[in-house]
Amino acid sequence: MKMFRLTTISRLLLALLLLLSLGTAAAQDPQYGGTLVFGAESMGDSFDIGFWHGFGGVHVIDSIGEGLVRADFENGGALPGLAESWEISDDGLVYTFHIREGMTFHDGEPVTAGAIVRSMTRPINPDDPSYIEGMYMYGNQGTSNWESIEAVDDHTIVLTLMQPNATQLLVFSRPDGAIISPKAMDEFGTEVGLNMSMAGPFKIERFVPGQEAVLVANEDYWAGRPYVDRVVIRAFPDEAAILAALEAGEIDMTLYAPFTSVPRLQDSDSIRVEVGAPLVNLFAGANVSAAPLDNLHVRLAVNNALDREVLIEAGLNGFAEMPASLIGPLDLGFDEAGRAVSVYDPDSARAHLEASGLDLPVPLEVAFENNRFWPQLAELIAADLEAVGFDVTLDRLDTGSFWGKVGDGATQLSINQRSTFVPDPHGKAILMARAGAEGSQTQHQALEAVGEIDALITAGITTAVPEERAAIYGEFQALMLEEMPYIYIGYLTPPIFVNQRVQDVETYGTAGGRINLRGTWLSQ
Amino acid sequence: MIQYLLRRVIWLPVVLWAVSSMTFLALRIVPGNPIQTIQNQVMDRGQLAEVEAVWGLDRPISEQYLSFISRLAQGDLGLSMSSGVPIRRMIFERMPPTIELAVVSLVISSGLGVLAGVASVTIGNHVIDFGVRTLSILGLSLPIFWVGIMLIIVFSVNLRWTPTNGRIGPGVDYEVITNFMFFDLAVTGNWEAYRSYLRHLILPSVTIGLTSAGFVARLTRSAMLEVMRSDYVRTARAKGLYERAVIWKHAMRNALLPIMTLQGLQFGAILGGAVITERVFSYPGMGTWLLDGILERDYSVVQGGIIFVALAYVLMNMLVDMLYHVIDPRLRTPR
Amino acid sequence: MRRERRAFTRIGAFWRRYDIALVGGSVFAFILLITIFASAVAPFDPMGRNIKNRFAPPSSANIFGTDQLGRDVFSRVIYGGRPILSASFSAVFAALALGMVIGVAGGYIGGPLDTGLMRLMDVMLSFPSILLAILIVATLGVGQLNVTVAIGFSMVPIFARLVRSIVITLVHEEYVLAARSLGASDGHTIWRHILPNMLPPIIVQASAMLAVAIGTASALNFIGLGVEPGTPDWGMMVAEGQRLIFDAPHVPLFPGLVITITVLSVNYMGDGLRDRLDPKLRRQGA
Repeated sequence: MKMFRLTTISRLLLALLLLLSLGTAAAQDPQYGGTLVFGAESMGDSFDIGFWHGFGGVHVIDSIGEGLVRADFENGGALPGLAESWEISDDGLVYTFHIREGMTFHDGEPVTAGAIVRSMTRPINPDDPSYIEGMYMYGNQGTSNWESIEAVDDHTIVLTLMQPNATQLLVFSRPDGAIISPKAMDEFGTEVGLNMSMAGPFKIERFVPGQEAVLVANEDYWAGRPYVDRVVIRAFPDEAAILAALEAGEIDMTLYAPFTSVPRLQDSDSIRVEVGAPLVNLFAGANVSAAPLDNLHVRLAVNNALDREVLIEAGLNGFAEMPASLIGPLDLGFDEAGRAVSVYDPDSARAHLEASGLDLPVPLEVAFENNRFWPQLAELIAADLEAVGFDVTLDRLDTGSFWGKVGDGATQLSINQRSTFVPDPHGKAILMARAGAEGSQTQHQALEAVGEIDALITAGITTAVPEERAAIYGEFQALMLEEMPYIYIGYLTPPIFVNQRVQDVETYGTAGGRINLRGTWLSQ
Repeated sequence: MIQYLLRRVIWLPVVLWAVSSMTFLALRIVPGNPIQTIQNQVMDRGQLAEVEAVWGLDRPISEQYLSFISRLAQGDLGLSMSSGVPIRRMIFERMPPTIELAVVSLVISSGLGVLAGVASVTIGNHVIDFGVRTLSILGLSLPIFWVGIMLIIVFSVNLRWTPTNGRIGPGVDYEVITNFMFFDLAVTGNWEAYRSYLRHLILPSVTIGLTSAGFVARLTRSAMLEVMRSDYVRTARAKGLYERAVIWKHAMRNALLPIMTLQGLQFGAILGGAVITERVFSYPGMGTWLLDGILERDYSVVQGGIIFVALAYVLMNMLVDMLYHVIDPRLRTPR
Repeated sequence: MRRERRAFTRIGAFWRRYDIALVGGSVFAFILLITIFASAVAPFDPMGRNIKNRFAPPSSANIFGTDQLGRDVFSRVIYGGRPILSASFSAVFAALALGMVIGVAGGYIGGPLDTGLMRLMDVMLSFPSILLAILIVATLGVGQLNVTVAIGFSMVPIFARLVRSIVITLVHEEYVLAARSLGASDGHTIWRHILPNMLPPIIVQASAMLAVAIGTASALNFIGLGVEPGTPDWGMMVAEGQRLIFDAPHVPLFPGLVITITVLSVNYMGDGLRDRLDPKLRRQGA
């Protein structure tokens, strides 16, 4: 308890410091100019949105690209993007988008409804010169549910769905929803990913695969050019190296420095740390189709065994909020009540383990990825579990093996995370929707409530009215806590490391890995 | 000699076939496949199944192998599964930086190593000898990520002499022709970029150079000792030949063989195995590319990349073997 | 001048032959003893966490300080030699044994067997060893035995090629040719003439490869494929501590230091041993 209070106090101090720094910043007007170097954890080999992977690539696409809408990570919902407005029919099947006039792609090509439709249908049009087989990321655009899409005139697009899909609008704000210039698609064909031309606030000046992307401000961006002249997004796969570069003044902003250096950097003259919004949910997934986690009492025992205060303090350096359920605090329909269930209560954990009818100690395998803070969290979780009567085996896996084992149902408890890539609860709820599907993440078909869960998830996307959806997700959360297929660790509030000269950092999307540098500026 | 070369060239496709088959098999044995690594990020499971079919992952392994080998025989390395970029193109991006790193590292390690090895034997001062040996063992045992980060702390963070990372400074503009920067930048006369490029090359190549100089020094030292004790050197000395001439003529020639073998091996090792150095210095080469390929289970990247590493390795060793024949006349006589 | 130098050389030779080997041997014996009797030496439980006492700098209570989970670094260093030393030693021994068989067979018999074996070694070598190790560990899973297999496997061709190159030089030496022409059996020739002459460089190489094995084990940990998290292990401590180098340097520094001392002592021991075993030195009656 004492530990937590300390954290809270330090958090308050941090917030105060932030306010102070914001106060001084607000005294100045934003300035134009300068080069901002952003340290990413990787830099891919292409910016083809059908294949994007790794955060370095996402950061670039988010900076150069724009879809029909943008996501509002702070309040949820969609903001105007290339479409300045839109209407959705009452049955939720017909979307009419009104495209802003006078916009151009980076290569000078005008942004018309026809150009947008061509880009949006790229994944379903094998005749397009830029079509590549296996563009998996387009699987998030919902194309298989499209009845038709057409450009009615130069500035109007009508999209007709087969089934209502409440998430359809927001998926257009994903990296795979960014719109590509038709000229680039013709000119570069299947190598368009190496020569991306889009309509976002920055444009690519040069790209060195695996190393960096150099972006320059797009003077013709519809919302006005961003403040900084140039953004260099550069890859730093090693945490200590990124810290060294930060200290040497070679980078201005990063999300990927080790959390442990926050206390020291917080006091430095050149660097400041801002705290991101709780958009990433950390949890342990239970394989409910295999012993011992097919036993509800065992899952409840795991839930009560985890001392989240210690996990957050020692495993994450205090950078997380206490958890409630699968749905996050900024998501539609978030239910605070879960915080009373996802609690540390070792006596209750022991009682549940007794009630499970299994012989003590109960053997349990805990799988996790071998990077970032996962090993340390796993170690702490193992200690908590052993303290209440589990016999834990830690299974440390590389990324590929982890997902392979999880997919094959070969894990028992697997520690993992889910970020908010678009501000809609469906992105997290869908983890449960795979019940029964081949290769499903945790074999949920074994749950008694599987039918109910599936029905709720379907209702969640076929219902249009936000209040009704909120109620559905409320019910969903209650069910999650009852069945406990996931045990929650916390909502990550990641530190964002910035050079003191960087002002007005957007801390919402950034926390989930979707940086937005349009409003950020550099004080000289 | 020509006959010998021909024999080696005939073996080349066999070695490459063996390496690629081994890679193919290893990737299928390792748990996890490309679909499983992305399935958590793709919501539409139907489309995921289509992608699986495109990659041929739904077919039996024997079929996958046959199509892989037949495509390989036609020189088709395919597209990266995770980024859709042709492997050919990725090799062009990633191989030159690593070759440059390997060459400069080997020059550093050979220079340092031979110098230290010769000094420790010829100066005859046991303190120097002891020092050289200690330092060379240190070079071998210190984990390379450790050496790298230490150099960064001293030279980049504290002294600010060298940049911490990358192949060239952030946002530096240059034209790519062969993607070998030492060539491209000179041809285009881009001297400012050239300076940045050289400054970036220093720390990573010194890191590898320092750690492998230990090997060279030890090898030089023991080869020299061996030769110095041998009968013909003692005879030469007894005849009153000037000592330095003896050392260079006889000793170095003998020491050269194992050193060349070693450096040939090292070259191959750096080409695909500078994983850690490249990672610490955020260097965009083969090592990080292949490691990411393995971790993401991008089958085509790993299969294509390893073939190129193997090819470069085999060619390098053929070169070493040829030099062997030139240097050591004993091997020329057919047995 | 000349006499002085000879005296110097003689001291050097003496130092080389006995003292360094002795110093190396006793330091290594000391480290082994501590590692074996770790439970008697360590002041604290190496797994004992104290979250309130994280990152404590070295003090009289924790002479090497505490780590990210408040564990006593000194106690972890005491225990930390077990996994990495046993993995590295067994990897080198296994690779040496296999490599010697392959190298002697190829170099001595020659012909198609030699070509075949060396091409096989080419295949193994042309596969980058660290990537091979990663694939092996990813397949077999994390754990000490698998790390041993991964490291050992990648070292076999190195030993094989080294042994072969020595054997090839030796079979042309006059005394070997003489022995063979006098009708000595192959087994006898190998045992009597090749092996003893091969041993000194092999011992040196093996002790150097031990350093490499320890480095590789640390590197595997650095990439996340080593021992289980929490296990006290020098390699793991250095690898995990690398990111703390700016903030809590004592966490990676002490295990790193111990690795260095261990490797140095083994190598001094190896050098001394080589000098004793070298038949040429013995023949000289020095």
